[in-house]
Amino acid sequence: MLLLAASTTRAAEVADLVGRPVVEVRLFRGGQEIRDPATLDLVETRTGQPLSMRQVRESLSHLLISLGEFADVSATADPAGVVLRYDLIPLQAAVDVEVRGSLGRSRQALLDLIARRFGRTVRPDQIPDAVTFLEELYRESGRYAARITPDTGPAGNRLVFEIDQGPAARIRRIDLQGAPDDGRAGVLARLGLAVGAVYDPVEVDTRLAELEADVRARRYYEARFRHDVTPSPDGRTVDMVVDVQTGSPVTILFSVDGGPPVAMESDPVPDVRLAELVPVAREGSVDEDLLEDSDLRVETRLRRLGYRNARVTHRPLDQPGELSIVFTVDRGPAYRVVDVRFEGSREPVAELRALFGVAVAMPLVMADVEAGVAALTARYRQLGHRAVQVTWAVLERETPDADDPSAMVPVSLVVEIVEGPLTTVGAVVFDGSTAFSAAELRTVVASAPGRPYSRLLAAADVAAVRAHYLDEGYETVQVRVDAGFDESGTTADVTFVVREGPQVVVEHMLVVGNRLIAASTVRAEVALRPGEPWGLDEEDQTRRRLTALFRRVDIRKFSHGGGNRRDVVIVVEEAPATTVGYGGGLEVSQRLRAAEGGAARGQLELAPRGFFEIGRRNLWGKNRSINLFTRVSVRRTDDADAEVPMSSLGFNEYRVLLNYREPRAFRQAGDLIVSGFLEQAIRPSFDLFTRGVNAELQRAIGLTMTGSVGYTYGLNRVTNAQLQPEDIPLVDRLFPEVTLSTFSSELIRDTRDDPLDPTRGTLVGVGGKVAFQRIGSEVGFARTTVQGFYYRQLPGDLVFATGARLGLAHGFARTVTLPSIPIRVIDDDGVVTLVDSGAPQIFVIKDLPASERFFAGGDTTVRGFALDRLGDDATIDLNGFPTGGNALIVLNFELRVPVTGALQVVSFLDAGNVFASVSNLRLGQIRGGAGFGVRYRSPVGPIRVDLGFKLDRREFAGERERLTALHVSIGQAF
Amino acid sequence: MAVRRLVRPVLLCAVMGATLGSGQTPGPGELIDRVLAVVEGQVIMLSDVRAHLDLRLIAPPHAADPTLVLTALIERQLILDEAARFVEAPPSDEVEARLAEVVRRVGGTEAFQERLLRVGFTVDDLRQVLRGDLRIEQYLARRFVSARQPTEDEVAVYFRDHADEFLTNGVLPSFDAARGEARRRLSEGLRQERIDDWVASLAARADVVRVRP
Repeated sequence: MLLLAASTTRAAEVADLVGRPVVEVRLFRGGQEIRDPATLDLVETRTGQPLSMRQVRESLSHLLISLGEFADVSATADPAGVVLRYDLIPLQAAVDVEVRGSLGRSRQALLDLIARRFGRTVRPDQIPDAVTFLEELYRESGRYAARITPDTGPAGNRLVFEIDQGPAARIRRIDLQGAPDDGRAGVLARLGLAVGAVYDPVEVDTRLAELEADVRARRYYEARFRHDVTPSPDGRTVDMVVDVQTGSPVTILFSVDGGPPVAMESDPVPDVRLAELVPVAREGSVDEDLLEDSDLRVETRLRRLGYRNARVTHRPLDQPGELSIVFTVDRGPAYRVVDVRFEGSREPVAELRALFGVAVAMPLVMADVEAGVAALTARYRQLGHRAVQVTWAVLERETPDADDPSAMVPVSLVVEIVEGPLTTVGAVVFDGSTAFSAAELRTVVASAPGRPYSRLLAAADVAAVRAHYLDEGYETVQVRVDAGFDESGTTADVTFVVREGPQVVVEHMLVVGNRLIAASTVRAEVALRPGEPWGLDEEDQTRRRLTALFRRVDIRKFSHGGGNRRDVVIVVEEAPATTVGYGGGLEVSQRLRAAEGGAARGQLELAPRGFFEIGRRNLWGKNRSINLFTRVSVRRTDDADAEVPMSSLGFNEYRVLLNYREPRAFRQAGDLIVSGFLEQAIRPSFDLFTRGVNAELQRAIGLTMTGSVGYTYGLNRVTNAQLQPEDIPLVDRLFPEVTLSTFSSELIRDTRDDPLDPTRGTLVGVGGKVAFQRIGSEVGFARTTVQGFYYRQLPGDLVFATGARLGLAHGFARTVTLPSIPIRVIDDDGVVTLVDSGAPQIFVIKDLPASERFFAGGDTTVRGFALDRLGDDATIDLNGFPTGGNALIVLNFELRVPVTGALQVVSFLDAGNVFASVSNLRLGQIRGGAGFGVRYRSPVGPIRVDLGFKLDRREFAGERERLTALHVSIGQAF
Repeated sequence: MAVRRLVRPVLLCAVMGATLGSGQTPGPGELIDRVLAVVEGQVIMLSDVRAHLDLRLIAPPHAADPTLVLTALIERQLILDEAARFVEAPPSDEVEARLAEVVRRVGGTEAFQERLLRVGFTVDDLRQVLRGDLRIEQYLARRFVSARQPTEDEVAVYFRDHADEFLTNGVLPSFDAARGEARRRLSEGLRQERIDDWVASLAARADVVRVRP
């Protein structure tokens, strides 16, 4: 403070220096002179020029914004002029933080509070603020004598706050204001205040708030209870002022259609939920904004009920000792639409009605009428009728009954449409464009000669041209469109007038805040390049790439003096290098189990499960990462005597995945992910154990597309099959333990707004997998999946979601010699026969191994069925257990309806089936399921409960399928 | 001859090096500007404080204390961020009228220009400041129209607690005579209290870095 005061008093001396020539400019950081030309270039005050305070100010801004460093500028008068010295105070010299001493609270809680205020590290210049922050923190808990001593240590890379919280202050004096003399003792007792007691500000505020809430609940909506303290110099005592202002009790009254004011409880306006729309009691407030909003809400509600002239106002009513707020409600007559006519249009009436939206039997809502007119107008203009005029009239079929304001007045709506001439685009001209040719810009716009002229389309074209320029660094570009119409109004020459402005070019690139990740790694991720235009697209790409690297990324553009060159200042905050995650839960799902007689029966099962994950990122100066994920669960088995492989810890389902990620591998070709996996899963028909390694190269293609290629080598073992021996596919019997060597590829385009809970956008993907004996696989096959999902937001925040999945697979023939066992053979027409030759035979197998076959049914496919239960006669055995197949089709339709902020209900219709072979795929054999469910939006994603119903039930082993299947899960179904 | 040709540049370099070395680190000198605070990305410098003092842009009692000026500038920036979202830019004639008032206050055009140079402001910079001030005034007037009227009891308590402020020539007027004025002052106090609470809440939410206290 003294320094600031002293500085300002010397303003007159500064005035003596202004205008004198600058003879030398030097920069220092920590006492060391900076000679880096890029940094020196940021200083505007130049040798030989007269000293200008404006240039000094600009230099300070440059240094702060470009380098993230504060600076002091000092000047020394020299006979020849002025010597300027800039002292930079680095912000990057961040330090780790620790607290110790008599903390009086959890160490971690304190560190978290410091981190929330200053980040995980505290810059040296922030230390005074941090001390003040901690002192304030202790003051807030009544510790006015707390002492905070910062210590940065000799290396300066670790900041320790030595804390002595000191004694809790005691109350020396209480001055209670606003309370009647006879009520003082009661108020003090209620607040728990007494002279000599320990002062706890949080407790006092809490009790004051409770008391204020109590008083407000008794209609004292203007109550305002506060307290303030003055601590003694030694901080051991406080003098307290408690101010309890109650104001007057408030009554809310309604005067409806000229009637006398009556209380809200008497329901003075039927069909209008006044308690909800006038939330004075709920909010405990008569704030003017709240009252005005209440007027508007009631008025809007009445107008939506057809009271087109409804008017609501409020006024205070002075009464001794009480404040009344009277809402005056003038409803006027209610109108109902009995007829809607369109005149002057050549378009089909059905289409006009759909666009207009207001229909017969609806209340007359003027907002809807105006919206309908706007929709009609926009549609006509889109079709090229730029001069269209849509007018409307309300014709009262009966005179309003003055004696009965609640009687509905029938009205006819007449919508008159004067279409005007159809206008098409003549020429498309670009005026003022020098950076791009007209031919290039024509590819950007949708307006073209001969197409209908639309103002909306032209406006969209303006945005497209502007975006094109912005992508090339023309940050101040202005584009407008002029349309020149011929005399008949049927042709419009469209001229885009472009004011390009300067093209902004990147000059320097500065990276601030990185610690473990090298600046060169960060620069490699930056799409903006020095000397090249500052494009919006490049900026987006940079942000997207860096967000994958850092916890926080801020890309700042800074003007480097005048001109069109800008510095890119990339301020980053690294996430902790080591991450640990763990959790537990209960899986609830409908699973197939063998009932008496062997029939598969779906039943609800609970399986406790847990996971643990540990990862390390930013390895070796780059954003390489390694991650170990483990998940375990215990699921009941069908047969207690069955030998189910278990881990040594007793888990019969588990997954271990070790992942290494190398970004920008193979000369920026893509991200390389190498994984090792070990998994045991209990499926409805069998248990599957897999282990192996996988290498995958992923690459982003543009903003929304991702492509990947991969190779997997692994072992799959099938045990504990529930199928009848003769129903077990040949390949599983011959190769209960099969080695697979597969190449795979996938291409996905994802424009969804949220992968966990999408409300709009699409996801389209195609993937393929192939295995050959020549590359080490014991069986060969080819498998492809195509999927598409579409999400659309409807009025009222409803979401419509639909999806389709198609899976096709083909096994490459392999000749095998078998002993004599009954063999289940499926011909191309899907007919199943059992063959037992009595002698060893040579068979050709074409089936896919269990791990690669398609299954359907369950919470993400067709929800009327338990997991994997879907199939036709060839893929479900006689008892109802699935064998899986070589073809799959799944279709989903879902409507998601919001109920409250966090709750959503859905209705769905699913269909699909699994077929033994591609040639067996028949749309006519698709089985359906429909149902409903609820979603609760939790911090980890939507928690989902779905109840599906089969649309056709079948019998297996004499037992009819259950009608329903219940699914509990996290995330949307698709 | 060849040796002479080599010696001369070496000597010259040595002399130059010595000269440069001797003046390598200039002393601290006179502090002419520095960054004092950053409020939501907006930099407040020592020259801003000087500008508000020199151009008398800030009202007493702040004018007496540069630290109070800095606090006022920080709060001004917080309010301005809010006001700019809701209040249109004021008409230019209002800004020009304010500008003319500043020129008059500092003693005419010449003194005005001299002070601008001293603090590194242009006239347009100053216009920007005045435009912001007008926006703030308009916003506060709109947002904090006191809807609540103090009760009769509150006015009486206020009069009793602030009796010394109502003394006229040492004589305390009756409550009836002072009721109107007491009500006005209490209302204004309540309004100011609300503004202070609001500014405090803005400060709690905002990213404010005071580089120096």
